[in-house]
Amino acid sequence: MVSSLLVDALARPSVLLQDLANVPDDAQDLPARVSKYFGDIFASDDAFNEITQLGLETPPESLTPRSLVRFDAMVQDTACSPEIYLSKRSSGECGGWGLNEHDATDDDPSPVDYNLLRECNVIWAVSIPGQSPWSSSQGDLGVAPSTTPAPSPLSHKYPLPSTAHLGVQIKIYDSTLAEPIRTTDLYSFVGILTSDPWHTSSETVTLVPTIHVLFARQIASTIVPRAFPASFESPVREVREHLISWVADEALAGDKLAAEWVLLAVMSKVQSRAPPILPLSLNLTGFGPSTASNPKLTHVLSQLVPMLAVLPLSLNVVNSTTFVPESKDEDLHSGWLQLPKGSLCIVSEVSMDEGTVSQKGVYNLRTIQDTMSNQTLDYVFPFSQFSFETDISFLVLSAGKKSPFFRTQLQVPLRGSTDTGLYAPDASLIRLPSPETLSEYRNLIGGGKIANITLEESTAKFIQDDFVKERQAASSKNAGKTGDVVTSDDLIIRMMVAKLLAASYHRPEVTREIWEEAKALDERRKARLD
Amino acid sequence: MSSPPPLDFPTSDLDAEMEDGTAKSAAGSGRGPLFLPGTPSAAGTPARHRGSDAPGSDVFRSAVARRAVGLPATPRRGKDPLFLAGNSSSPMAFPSSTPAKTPRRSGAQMMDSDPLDFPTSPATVAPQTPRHRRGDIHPTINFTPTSSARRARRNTRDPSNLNSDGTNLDIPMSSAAPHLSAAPVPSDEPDEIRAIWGTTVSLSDTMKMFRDFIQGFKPKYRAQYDRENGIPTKPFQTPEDAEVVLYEQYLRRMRRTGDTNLNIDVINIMVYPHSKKLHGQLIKYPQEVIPVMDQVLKDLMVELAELDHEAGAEGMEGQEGEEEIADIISKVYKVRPFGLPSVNMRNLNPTDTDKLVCIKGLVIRATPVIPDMKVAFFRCLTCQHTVQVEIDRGKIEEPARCSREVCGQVGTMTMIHNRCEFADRQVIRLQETPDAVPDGQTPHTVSLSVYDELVDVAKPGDRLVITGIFRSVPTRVNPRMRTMKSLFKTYIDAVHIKLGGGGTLGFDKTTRPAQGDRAPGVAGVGDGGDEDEEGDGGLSRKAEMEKRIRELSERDDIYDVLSHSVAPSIWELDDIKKGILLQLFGGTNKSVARGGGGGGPRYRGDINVLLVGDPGTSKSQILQYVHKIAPRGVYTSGKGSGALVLSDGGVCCIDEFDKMSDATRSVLHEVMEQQTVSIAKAGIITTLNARTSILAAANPVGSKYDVDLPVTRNIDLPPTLISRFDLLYLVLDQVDENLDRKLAQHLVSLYLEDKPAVESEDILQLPELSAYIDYARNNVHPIITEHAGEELVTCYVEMRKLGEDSRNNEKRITATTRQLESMIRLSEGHARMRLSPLVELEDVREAYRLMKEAIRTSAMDPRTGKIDMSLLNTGTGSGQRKLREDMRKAVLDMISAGGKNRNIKWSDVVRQLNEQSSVKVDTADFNEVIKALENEGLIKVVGEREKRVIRKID
Repeated sequence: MVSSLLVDALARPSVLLQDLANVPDDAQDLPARVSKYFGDIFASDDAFNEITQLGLETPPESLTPRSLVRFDAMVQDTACSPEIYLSKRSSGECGGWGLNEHDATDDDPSPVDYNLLRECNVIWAVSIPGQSPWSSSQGDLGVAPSTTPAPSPLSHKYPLPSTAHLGVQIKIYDSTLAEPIRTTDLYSFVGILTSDPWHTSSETVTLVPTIHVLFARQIASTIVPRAFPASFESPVREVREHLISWVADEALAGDKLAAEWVLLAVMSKVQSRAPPILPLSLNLTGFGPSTASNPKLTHVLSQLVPMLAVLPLSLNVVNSTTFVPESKDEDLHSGWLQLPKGSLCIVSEVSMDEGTVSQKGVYNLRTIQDTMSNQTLDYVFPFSQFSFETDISFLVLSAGKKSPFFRTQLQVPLRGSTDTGLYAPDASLIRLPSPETLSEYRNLIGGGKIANITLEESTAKFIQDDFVKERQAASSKNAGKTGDVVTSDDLIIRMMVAKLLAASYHRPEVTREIWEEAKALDERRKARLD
Repeated sequence: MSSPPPLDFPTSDLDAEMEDGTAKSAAGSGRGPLFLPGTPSAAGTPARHRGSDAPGSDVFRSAVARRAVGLPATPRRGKDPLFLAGNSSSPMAFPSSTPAKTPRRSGAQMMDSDPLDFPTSPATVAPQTPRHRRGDIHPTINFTPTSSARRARRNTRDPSNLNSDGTNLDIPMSSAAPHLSAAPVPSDEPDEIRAIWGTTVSLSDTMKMFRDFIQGFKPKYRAQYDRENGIPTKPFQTPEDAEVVLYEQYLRRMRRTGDTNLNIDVINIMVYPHSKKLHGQLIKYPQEVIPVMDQVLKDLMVELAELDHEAGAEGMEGQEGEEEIADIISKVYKVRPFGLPSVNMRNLNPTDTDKLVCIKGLVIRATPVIPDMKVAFFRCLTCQHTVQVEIDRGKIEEPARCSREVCGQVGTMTMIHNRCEFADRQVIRLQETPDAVPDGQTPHTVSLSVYDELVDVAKPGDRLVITGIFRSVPTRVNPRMRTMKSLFKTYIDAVHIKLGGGGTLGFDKTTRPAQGDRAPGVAGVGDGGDEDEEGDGGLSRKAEMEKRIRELSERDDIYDVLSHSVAPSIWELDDIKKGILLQLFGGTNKSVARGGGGGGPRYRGDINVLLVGDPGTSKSQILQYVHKIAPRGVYTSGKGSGALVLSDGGVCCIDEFDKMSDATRSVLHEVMEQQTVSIAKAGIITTLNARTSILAAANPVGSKYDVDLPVTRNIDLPPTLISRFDLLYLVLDQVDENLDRKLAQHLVSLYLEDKPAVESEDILQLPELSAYIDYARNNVHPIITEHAGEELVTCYVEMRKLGEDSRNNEKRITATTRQLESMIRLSEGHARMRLSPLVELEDVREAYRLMKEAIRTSAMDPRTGKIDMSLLNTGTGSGQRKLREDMRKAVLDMISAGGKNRNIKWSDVVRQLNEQSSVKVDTADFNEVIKALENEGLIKVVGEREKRVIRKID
């Protein structure tokens, strides 16, 4: 019974929809009933995975119109004007979901009953920017993503320029579903695929792939479900140790300290807005310049984190591309930094040449800095700016001794011990561990990202005393001069490091040992700075 | 014939015509084709009444009137001698041309307009569109007073605007939208005819109510309503003021000024007992009710004019009055309702269609003025016969052949552009204002169609309060498909525009020309000065807010509550927060009325604050926060004097003040004393107002603040600039066990939980604080009481005394009049903070305390441990001066001691001085001393750098 319904839903969603509309139910609005009905049919993961998934390998053009599809996407634009549709035709057929739009009711003389008009929310959604192939269920197919940019009709609405992606117009009829949707949110939209015009202010009307949503599911920021604390095959300390060694050996010329900091940085996230406890930004310095190849670190990290955007700063990129979403002619153009919450953004300065940074470039660089330090991104609208909260961990790779543009909370100069290079033309030079081990690594990082770390009262007291003691000692040593005294900023960083350290051990609490270890780690980092 | 409404249409001849036509057309009901546009008769009628010499408009009025009545032109023609006499085109054409055209035309319409468009009425062929001159209203009924029986009934819900206007804004040419009146209804159904379609609303009642309202509304009704709802109102100056018939006054004013627009606050309609129902009708059925109001307004204008004419009122006697009346008759009057509570534009939904709504928004785009052709003028190339064709459903039907039978040539009709009639239209895109957008959402946008007088009133960037009719019109789902009725677009036809839609950033009135200032009632009278304040239903909200603010101000600990609310995430720094708080409130700007050229000198009320301190002491955070709450706050870093003009009347936050270029610095000098910015460009120097307070943050010269050096040595800023700050605070990271422990506790507690609970401390949220400050700045202008004045004097003297030292005669300056002025401003700010109209003792004491605290840290010479204001004023403290004096003596001694050898090495001098002195010799001081000696001609320095030699000169 259920299975036949499932088959029907997969094959003929429009018919099911029409049937549902024909069963009157005054208690609930049709859109809400539709969401529930289809949501229930595909409640199980097995059923859900049956739905054809839109992707670069299965682009909308390859599918027949009005087939049921699923699109895992990032919401890019919610500023589109809602659409008003007639929920019931004079013939009694239901409207919406692109149904019955094409029948010949041209001669319909009856007046429009405005009470039958309903609103449908229109948004623009794009493939999840920077999603690592391993984290998408499509990646399992083993198909190498095509390198040629997909001919997405509105490529200015994708954050990463000249990157293959899909862009789809999403029409949501259920207002309770549409209400909470914000830009950069991640959703699996399930609905009926059609090709509808995209309404812009320009004369030309472009037809774009459109999903008339039946129901949607929110996607977790880790994309793949994670647990904290997670269970591991081998002791977590070992997994962690191996992970650090692997990152150090493959990407950082054997520098384990840097690798450990990278590990902590990629796990950090926005914990609170008021007071602001934001992700730690990390600057790895001493990479040496490179014009052609990418740092190996980007290849290695793409194996570990689900969403990784690499922002290759060059004069050209800084001066001529957009970093911030901007509404032009009432169309929200995307920018490099319009990334989903939970993303890792690697800002690579290594291929920066000498030259002039234009005014736009300065603005762009400043935007990165602001996003890094405030975790908000100001979208530009005509005569106004709107601030949107972000949650992006930043990792800045600098060629020289320090970043010329950015102030990060943490700075780690690279001290390679082996002479394996830091750069590689492509990912093929990276030696991958066994799939099982790799999966454990991902599990460790993913779990750490959602960790909820607490601090016990006694540890808190210990930390306070420690801080006061240190300051006293420092001030007596410097005879009144405030030289190398531990500042409140230092305390804040240490606290955050301690929490991240606990998360990386999959321990739910900061203990005295972890605090000491965090301090030691920070001391070792600082020692390199002098 | 049904009972006619109790209105008397004044133009008797037309009146007769209408009576006549009414009867006739009733008989000829169903002959829809006769009313088609293009019928030359109506348009061609010159109908000069009462000697009016505005034929165009007169013709038009007549045409409108006729059409409105739904009069078939043909039968009427014969009865009107004027018609024949003045007809520019051959009368011969009429009888034959009209019927002849009909079938062809209707056929054509079938083809080129969408069939869905057709009316729902039984008539299959559209009758003449009732021409209404208002683009914003799509009347669904034809209305004239004496012809109520003929008033057409039609489907009010015909969303028939399909035409794209090519402006890319997807707005149909609504002004010309097809509004098809139904076929004439037999006159034996009077009740139904007189009602608004689908309702029991009687139009004659509506008319009567509105007439009553205009003739009977008095300000007292509104005052009573306002009182009951706790809305503050200005008291009437005399009892008579409450009793004037307000709108009759407005009508007279309209006559005098030639205005044709009457803005009506819908609240007034609601509170007037006899028109209470009209309020609801107007909001529900604006399309029907507004034309009715327009008509009543015109009738009343004429009536009033005739009354005044008879009474021989000024300017209305004799011939002059006649002309005036004729003029009024030729005009089209428009009622522009406003004053509805505004709704968020995202809450507009399809059920609001065709209702009167009010929204606020920000203009992001406006098309140029679009000339909307209303009537096209055609002339036959062969026989010069002319024909006027009115727009119908957005289209002008070009006559295929000459309608004159004798001629009848095909393809000879050409349009004469300069004889066509056009109306103004503009499409505006209105975006939600940032304050209306729910958190984390992107702003929504709606389209707005504005017409006639409202065109070009709003510019991109303006904030508007719009009263208008919400429309839903079908669009094509897909350009390839013909389907129309399944998808709709919405927009608003504006009937009233008010500039400056509240919020913290209302448009700056000074940026508009003087008469534009009264922009709320753009073109027109009715929302005169006293009531345009907040007519958007925000009244009660505003009153509520004011009440809350007043309540808050009563609290004893309001000072603490407010200062804690400033940058609550920043630890401690209480005095700094207090200083900044008072800066936000500001002192009062004063100018001495007499003396000196133009009204005497002005005294600034702005308080400037400078924060100096170690990096990482959250100076920037404070600035960022202030920038958010301050009115017209501008945040800038280092460069950019443009920001100062932008923040005129606000607070300019300047981070990294020390990194400022010299040019900008000199600009700042001007701003901080003269309150102006001079900009030289293309040989012209312009002085712009920059009445701004400055909150600046500067980093010390070294990376750390050197507590052993005075402030002036720690910051790389000229003392002249530093002295312009009323308060200078040092934000230092000092080691103190108690403070450290508290700080650590505070910080660690934040990290105890993963998601720290927001502190439960009693603080105001940002918008509330902002509203409080805004309210105080706008409404409270404290005056210094005598007591407070005395206290100010005492405090000043006390501050001056700080410099006295009984042990020696050394005089250090601890306070100058500048400090006195600062103290006055701070006291005023403190009084303002309490919402007190008077500056009292406590205000002065707190100001004195703040000043003293700030001076204690900033003006203390660490080498002497004494406060010395001249340190800030000139950069050199008296202690330093003494030091230099000593050094000078020592240097001279040293050189003299050299005997014959008149040359001493520079480095030797420094070394020797160091040996003699207990404190290390400051290089800068030493340089100054040497330079002074050189200037005096006592010594001469030769050589470069280390090889410098000081030579004694005799």
